[in-house]
Amino acid sequence: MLSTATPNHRLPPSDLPVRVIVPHSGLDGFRYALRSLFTGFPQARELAWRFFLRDTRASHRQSLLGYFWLVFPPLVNTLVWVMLNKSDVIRIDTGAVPYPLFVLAGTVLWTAFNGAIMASMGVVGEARGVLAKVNFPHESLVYTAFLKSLVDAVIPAVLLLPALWIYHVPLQAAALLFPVSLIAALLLGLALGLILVPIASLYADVGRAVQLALRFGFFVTPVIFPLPAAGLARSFMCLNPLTPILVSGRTWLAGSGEAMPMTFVAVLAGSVLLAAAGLLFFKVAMPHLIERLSS
Amino acid sequence: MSSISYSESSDSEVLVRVEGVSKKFCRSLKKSLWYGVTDVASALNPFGNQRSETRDPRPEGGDEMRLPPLRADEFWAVQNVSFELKRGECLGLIGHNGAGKSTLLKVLNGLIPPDTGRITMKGRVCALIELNAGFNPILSGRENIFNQAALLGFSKEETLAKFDAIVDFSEIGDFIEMPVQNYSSGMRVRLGFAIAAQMEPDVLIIDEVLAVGDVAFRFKCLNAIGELMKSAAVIFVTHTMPQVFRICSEVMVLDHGKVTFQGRNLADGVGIYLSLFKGTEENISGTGEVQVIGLLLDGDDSKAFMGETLRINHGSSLTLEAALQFVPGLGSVRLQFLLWNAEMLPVLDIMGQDLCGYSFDVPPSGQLEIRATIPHLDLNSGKYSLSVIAASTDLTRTLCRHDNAAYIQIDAASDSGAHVLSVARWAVVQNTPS
Repeated sequence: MLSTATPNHRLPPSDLPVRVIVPHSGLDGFRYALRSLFTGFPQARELAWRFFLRDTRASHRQSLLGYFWLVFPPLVNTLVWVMLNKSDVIRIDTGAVPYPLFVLAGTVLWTAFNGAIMASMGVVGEARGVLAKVNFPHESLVYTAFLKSLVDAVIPAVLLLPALWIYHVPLQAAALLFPVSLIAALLLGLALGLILVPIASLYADVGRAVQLALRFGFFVTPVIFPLPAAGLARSFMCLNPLTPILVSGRTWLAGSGEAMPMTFVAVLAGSVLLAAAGLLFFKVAMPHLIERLSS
Repeated sequence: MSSISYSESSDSEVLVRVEGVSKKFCRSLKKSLWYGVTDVASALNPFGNQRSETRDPRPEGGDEMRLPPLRADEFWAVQNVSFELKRGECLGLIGHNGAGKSTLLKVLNGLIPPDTGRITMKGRVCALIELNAGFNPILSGRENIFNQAALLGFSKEETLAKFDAIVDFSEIGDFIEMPVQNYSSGMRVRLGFAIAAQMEPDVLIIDEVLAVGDVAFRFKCLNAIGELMKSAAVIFVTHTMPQVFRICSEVMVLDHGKVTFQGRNLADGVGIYLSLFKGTEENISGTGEVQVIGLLLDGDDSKAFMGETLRINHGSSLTLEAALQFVPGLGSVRLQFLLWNAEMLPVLDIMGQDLCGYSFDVPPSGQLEIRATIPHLDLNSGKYSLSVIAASTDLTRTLCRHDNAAYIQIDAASDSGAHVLSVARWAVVQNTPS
């Protein structure tokens, strides 16, 4: 951040911050991006917080019900599946875990993942107007997207507390790990979204394909049903990185079921690395994207 | 060549150094998107070719720059621009629409990467490109001030300190608590400018933001820019030539991406810009009761006829002779000649003694030649177009208005930007001892 103690024109010339713009390529470009991610972090963080406040305030000013719209969809989703199970339209056996709690926990985690991937994929499209006109650290858009999806994930998660109480599930120490699985779901979504951002902001097809994949993916991920004990379906679902997050998170919350801790840790670490790499790639790719965007 | 050092005293104040900057664009959208994909892919390749540009991006050799080859449907929007600016200097960037001025500004501002060349900027860079780009219409003016200031790089404490000054400058008053969507476009521009003007930049980049707003606001802004300029290096894009003469210290003319003029002679640069525009065609309007059938322009050393260009020097005499044909039944007519400059401003109205058109009676023959003589034409250099206007004596009807009937090219050996140059009689008046 530039020094604000004295106006710049009173600083001796050798003290003025110098900005050099040169067409970068290769390793040079990455080193430059990495350096500016670190040195620009305080300003980017402050800007991200400003963006977050601005967008949250603006969306609430135009809405009467506000956060109700975050809570309502997972609740209704859960009710629908519970009704279907109760009336024997489908028969899902979740063992010792009460089915409504099972579905609610799964839906909360899935919503976190879904929200994170859509928010991070859309950062460039949303900020289209300001990107081509003002020079600001672009990573702040990514931080804002993460903050927004964090809030959008935590609000419905709060519903789990009354749910635990209603279904007489004792709150154990392991339940404290549930927030970790929530963060893991967010990070995975963020990482995948960041990888897709460059191509998604150029071609509209990518956004559509991802939405389709998510709709389909909801049914091949153990969100509303438990992971099968054995068989081809199990092997297939174990390839899905979201599976260990869902399975572990639910088990820790409810206190019974299989846990898959090692796989979970691997997925979490992988998500963190992928998200960091995605952020770096985002920073390197942004200038090339801005010139192709319509403003 | 080694990297630039800033230890020499002449270099110590150079705030902007641009060397050999070029930028290409693609005409077709689909190809552009695909090139975007390939550019991003090669940017993301850590083992991508380390082009010599990264180490020495300035193009090699002489005047003819070796540019990288163009892919299909690409063109150079900006080619080989180089200049240097010290603190307190202002570069005026002028050119036709689509010449590459805004593209160059975006590259200078760091929004899009250049394809060749190198840009070095010292100090805080502030761009007045679009003043209300970061505004959220639902939030109030107060909230938008904080958001916009953060976008421009202010911290919250700085914004609080300057808040009152911003509100005062923008003259928005109590409306500051209202949502911005209810502001008029003038209010929005005032607010945006007020925020940006509070920065103490070292480099200021301005892109035609003064086109909106009333005269009072434009005046206020020009003054504010003049103040900011004292302590910054300014790059200023405009289509209004008087602004160039008012605040710029040097001028650069862009024509289809190429630099056709660069230097401190503002009048020359502006002249080159204006000469890019072809004059409009001859245009005849009015009731048609009078027709101009011939025209003669006579200067000190040259002559010209209808549709031609008369070349004369500043201070030359000018005689205009118009051969007119009248419809029968007209009583008397007033005739005047009007000279327009290249910016379509009417600079000289050639009239009769009563400061209206010269009044005369129509002869029975229906044809007449009228001559007007000006002993001394004091207009500054430029290309002027001549209009012949015939009206009824009470000036209620325009009988003939013949625009672009002929042209006059004046050469004045002066760097001045004024429309008229007057040679006065000067004398030193003795000081009376007190």
